[in-house]
Amino acid sequence: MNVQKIFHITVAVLAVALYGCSSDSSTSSSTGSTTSATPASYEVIVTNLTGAQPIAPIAVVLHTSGYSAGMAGTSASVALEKLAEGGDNTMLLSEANANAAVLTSAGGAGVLMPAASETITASVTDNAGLQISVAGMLVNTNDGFAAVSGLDISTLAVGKSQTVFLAVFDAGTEANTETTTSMPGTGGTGFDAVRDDTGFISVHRGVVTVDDGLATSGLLDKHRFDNPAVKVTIRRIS
Amino acid sequence: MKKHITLAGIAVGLLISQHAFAQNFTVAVTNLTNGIYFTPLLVTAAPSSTHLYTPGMAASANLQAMAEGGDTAGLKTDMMAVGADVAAANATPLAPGATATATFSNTAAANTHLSVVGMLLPTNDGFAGLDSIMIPAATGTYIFYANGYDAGTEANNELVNGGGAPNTLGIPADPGAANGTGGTGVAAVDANTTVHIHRGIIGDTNATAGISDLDTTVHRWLNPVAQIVVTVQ
Repeated sequence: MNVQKIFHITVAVLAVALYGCSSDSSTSSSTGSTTSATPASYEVIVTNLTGAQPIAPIAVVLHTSGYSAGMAGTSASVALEKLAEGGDNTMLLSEANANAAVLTSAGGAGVLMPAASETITASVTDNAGLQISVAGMLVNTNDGFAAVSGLDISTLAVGKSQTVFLAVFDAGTEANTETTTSMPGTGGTGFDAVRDDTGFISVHRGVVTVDDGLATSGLLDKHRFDNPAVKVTIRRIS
Repeated sequence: MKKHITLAGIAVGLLISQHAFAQNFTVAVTNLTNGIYFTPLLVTAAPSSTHLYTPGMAASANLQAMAEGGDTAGLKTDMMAVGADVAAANATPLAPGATATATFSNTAAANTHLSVVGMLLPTNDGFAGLDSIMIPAATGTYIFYANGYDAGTEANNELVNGGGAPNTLGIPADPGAANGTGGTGVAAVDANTTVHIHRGIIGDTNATAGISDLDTTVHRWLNPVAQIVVTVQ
């Protein structure tokens, strides 16, 4: 990891940025902040870096440290399960909006195809301790989603941008059968309340596909992916 | 304006300067894989010049013992010889999704850099590695990620036969008991005999035959394999 060569605070921020899903991230030693709130607006530019994995409408949440969309090694919420299995971000966004630590949230306009980019804008009334979480399902998986969780953007200056590359996580809620009937991208079932996998969020191990020997898989070689799968650039516009 | 620039300069100076004082911190390692265990981890704070491994360089005999059999005794002796601090984490294989924490108290002032290694089980000579990361000076929580490396010392035949000693071909065991048997063997040689990023597992879907004793649907991974949270007190 090249982040080793970067300096203290930067190291932490970049490391989190690389592979999110860890809520408890940031260091942001508050530098004697003023008492008045600082409004801020951001452009969040999301790019699908995969070869052939459309990404379901993403969820973007701007929040402080009291909110987490999910943490590696822990059980996924039902809201995250719905996003990861079915590409449905509505429950995750509605739960976020009901959370006192969330300042604002936004959903993607639609499915983000490979090579496509989408820009989402979001404004907050106060950027103190501000973090961003982004998640979106890779639709040709059982419960795989690209995500970053709790990335600190509180020190981003107006006109400056910060880029993070997202790994793909496995929600641990649905067995990775890769059957055509089990994945939304292949016309199968999306969310299924039954949990028949590890029960914890891990880094996704990739899809095997029928081309690599999993005879029951409905996926092809082109559906394989590696990390990172998504690029996210956060630009503060005011 | 000039004052600002000067202040900024000082701030950067502080950030990049080597701290040299005793520290108290914890290192929490989470296994991010689906079906791979970590043998008891070696977690150590050492001088910046100390490296447990270097990608592109041949593994030391003690790194080989860790990567092929999970034995960290030799590496620990190496670390003690340079005055490193070593803290215990997991005593038994760390399961996927689980977290083990090492606690460091009052480390020696020269031990400014953190390294973590542990064998990826079941693999032939794979290990999770974080090499010589500067331990942040300021109080706070910092997150790092570790990749899976191949020690380059043993062919990845993917056969679970109990072979864990250095230069004994084979995989010691699968703590998760998801392995098969009767494989014919995947790779006969390592093309890169230096430490390198592990290419992952091939596996197969045949529990009693095929080329591999590992399971294509269980034992594969993509990087990173571990999350390492350093909390400086």
